[in-house]
Amino acid sequence: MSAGRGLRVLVLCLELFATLLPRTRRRDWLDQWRAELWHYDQWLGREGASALPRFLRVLARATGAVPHAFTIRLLHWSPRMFVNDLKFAWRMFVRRPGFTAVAVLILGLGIGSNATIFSWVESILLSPLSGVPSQDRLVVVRGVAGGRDNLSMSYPNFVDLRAAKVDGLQDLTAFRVVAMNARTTGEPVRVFGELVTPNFFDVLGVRPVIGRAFLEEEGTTPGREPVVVISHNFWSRILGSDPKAIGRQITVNGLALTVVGIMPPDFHGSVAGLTLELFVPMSLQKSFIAGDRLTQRGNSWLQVYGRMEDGAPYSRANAGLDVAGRRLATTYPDSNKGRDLRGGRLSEDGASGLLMPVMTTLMGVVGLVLLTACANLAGLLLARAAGRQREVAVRLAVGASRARVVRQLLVENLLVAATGGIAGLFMARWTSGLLRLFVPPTPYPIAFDASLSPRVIGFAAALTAVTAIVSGLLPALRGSRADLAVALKASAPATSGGGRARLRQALVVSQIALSMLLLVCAALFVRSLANARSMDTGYSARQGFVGSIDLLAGGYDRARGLAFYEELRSRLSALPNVERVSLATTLPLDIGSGSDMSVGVDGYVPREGEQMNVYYTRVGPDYFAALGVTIVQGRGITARDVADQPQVAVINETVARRYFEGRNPVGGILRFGSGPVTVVGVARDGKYQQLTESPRSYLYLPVLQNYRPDTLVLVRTSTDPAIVLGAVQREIRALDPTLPLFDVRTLAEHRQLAMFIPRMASTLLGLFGALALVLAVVGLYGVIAYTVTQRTQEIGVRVALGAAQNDVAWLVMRQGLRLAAIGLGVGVVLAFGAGLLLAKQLVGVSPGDPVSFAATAFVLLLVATLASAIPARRAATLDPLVALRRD
Amino acid sequence: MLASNIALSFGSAAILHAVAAGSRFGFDIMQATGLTSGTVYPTLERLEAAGYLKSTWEDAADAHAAGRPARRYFTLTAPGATALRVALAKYRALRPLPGFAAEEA
Repeated sequence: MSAGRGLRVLVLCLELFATLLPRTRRRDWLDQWRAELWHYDQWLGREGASALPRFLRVLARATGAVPHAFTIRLLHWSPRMFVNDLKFAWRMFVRRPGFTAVAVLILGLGIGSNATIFSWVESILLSPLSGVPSQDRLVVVRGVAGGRDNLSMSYPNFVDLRAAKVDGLQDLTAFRVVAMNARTTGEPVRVFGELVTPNFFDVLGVRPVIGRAFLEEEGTTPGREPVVVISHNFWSRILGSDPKAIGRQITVNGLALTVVGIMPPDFHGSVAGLTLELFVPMSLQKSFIAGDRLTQRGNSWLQVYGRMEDGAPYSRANAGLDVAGRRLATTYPDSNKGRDLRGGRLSEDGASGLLMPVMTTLMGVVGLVLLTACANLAGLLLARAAGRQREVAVRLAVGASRARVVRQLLVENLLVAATGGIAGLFMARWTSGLLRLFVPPTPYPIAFDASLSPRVIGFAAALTAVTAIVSGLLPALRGSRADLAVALKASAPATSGGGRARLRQALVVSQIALSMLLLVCAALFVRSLANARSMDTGYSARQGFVGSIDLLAGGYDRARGLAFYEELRSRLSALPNVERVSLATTLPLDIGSGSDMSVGVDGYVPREGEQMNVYYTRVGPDYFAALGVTIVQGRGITARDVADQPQVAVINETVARRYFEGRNPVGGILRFGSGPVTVVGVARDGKYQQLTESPRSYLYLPVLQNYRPDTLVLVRTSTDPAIVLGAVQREIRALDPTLPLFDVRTLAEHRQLAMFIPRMASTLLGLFGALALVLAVVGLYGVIAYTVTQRTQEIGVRVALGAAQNDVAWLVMRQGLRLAAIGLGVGVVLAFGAGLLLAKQLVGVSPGDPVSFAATAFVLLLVATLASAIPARRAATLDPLVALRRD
Repeated sequence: MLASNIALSFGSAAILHAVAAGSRFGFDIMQATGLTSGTVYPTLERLEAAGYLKSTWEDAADAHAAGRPARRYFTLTAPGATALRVALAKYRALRPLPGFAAEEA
């Protein structure tokens, strides 16, 4: 939503809300808020906020209008009148417990689901870094060059940038997330931490709860006793909350580090969504990332945050960075030419950026659910307004103004909505923790902390007020328009409002259409999930597991690393129940897997502008047998493919088809990096990144020729992998007691990864679809039951004149089924449109999948039949004597 | 009357302080105090009802000329000034600290 349009909608909501205020104060209040939101919105614009966060912030600020309005009421209204309104509302509230319960339930579900999603958006978008104060004053500094805008920075560039005192920024810090092997006394553990500049904690504005942060000199020289700051979690989990932890030594990546500080429990580092445990000063870089990176200006590997000066607007910091970036480019043209600097917001960074699209979609979905809830409540209120026509008419007749009546009805609805809002918050208290369902199972320690902050509660309160007005205003206006002469007559219900009935029917139709939409989408994903389970992914191994090893963190160089790989393979292969052992840098269908490079193929002339990019992985001997990938031609990678032998590669069928058309690919020559690489085999095509991808070019290189210090160990077993795992870990420990085998998962668990999106989508859409369906059915039942009540006399006459029970029942049923059918029709069109949008995420299901549509329509019709059958039965069994005697 | 026996909360004192220091309308007062909209606006309302603040609407033509909506300006009344003085004596946290004076005027 654009900020401008969002603002207009907000002001419209405020205008509706203004009807709750005394007439004399309405204008004042509204103008004041219009000015407030305008000023704030403009200010945010100048600060450079992007559209959605900007709107959310304005929305958060607008919540203040509610307490303001209540204050005015309390100060300027006769309290007696308000209390009377409330008292009367309370009487109506308890006099109809059934109606109240249904209304509270409906609103509770609607508001609850919105508060839940908002709590997620808040934790991801509005304050992504846990435990860091004034996050909106932090700027993410990114390099911009060659069409990319998220480049990292080299250490020398950072040092110069910091020394140059960027205008608008107090200070800058640089850091890099690194995986570490830590060991205290027992087992080595794999944790994630950060390599940071010594001012890191100052810039973030956090301080250790025990001990100290880094000293400036610790950033450049490790000193005799290199230091580490640990997270609260590490302290309690690994060090057992040792009261003498400060000064204790722990071994991290082979270095003995002295603990100097423990961070507060809510601080998890500087990357949104990650739980980082150890913080080591920059001077220890060489032990954590390969190469001597502190001196190379061309080697960009650091993330940089800046803290803005107090009161300095975002735009000034950005301009300052722009100037500083250009100065760096002129001073060091070799490495920095064409490279600009730009400031960004935290909410666009890291895991937050990843989850943003999901969250935006979810906001849309729950918005629809709330809309359904409002439509539903409006329907119920319209029905009730009909029942209260005579009461309203009496009030009007004895001199109440229409505004007075509207206000009374709104106060009643506000009471219902407030109860619903509280119920919703209780629901959100439980459901906000479900955010972890959205976290894909990656080796990274991803964790979001969603909870009911004051902002979420404020949001729910504002939503409650808006809901009360949106759902209550129309019924109240209609309800208060009673024609006195007609309403006071005894036969009023039979003749009242055709327009009102039509409105209710339209509401029910829209609810059914919405639930159809959500449920069809859910069904499409359920079918995707089923397809994904049975899909041929190109590898057939079922029993086994993979785990990761990081030799760099273990202090290995290339020669020792290669020797380790050899030794590891032979030891593990000798274990009982182990069928095959191999190594690989990535497995197919891993999250975030896939590096690609540009290759040349001898004998193939690329077309004009053709990009010959091929994805690749490095694998150990026996890889294809271990994972069950068929070699269709030639051979796989063997133990003989080592560094001093000719460079070889195995290609997949797609590469063979594309670049070796009509030729024998085996013996063909590929060119990338240094020297020719001979193709020795062709492997069957598979799925490499997503189940939904079309065939892509893929290359397997021997890891023994292309060394990498971090690798996956792949073990195929002949029995339950859990039985073998212990023995494998023992062997690794025997080889090197400091090396942990981490991120261990069975091949079955690995397969689950690929199904993450369809599973998550089907669960959520199914859940919200079911919610919408319940709401729609309640609405349908309400409408039909209401018409039966209204037509009691007519039905009585029919029965008295000899109509059969079945005919009467059908009369009522027909009405319900007609509404359901129209809703279905509209829903089918909507669902088809939504299906087209989702097509990319569907596995082997077309967006117009007849099974999904038919099954959903069947369920909807069935439920609609039940919902109208209950009132139909009541109508059919009416005693004509009783019906006709009703006044 | 009311004025003398209303004990000012810290938030109210901060808002009176901001008005006295020259922040005259809601948004500006929020910027100056860092308090939320749900605190500032109701408090302004109560302070006006208590007679500590007086409000006037900015001339619509002036605001229009400046290209923005009209603002509701608040000014301190004499009882308000007294209340602020009492509050400043009570809330030591609001007193200026040597060495922490704002750099800009």
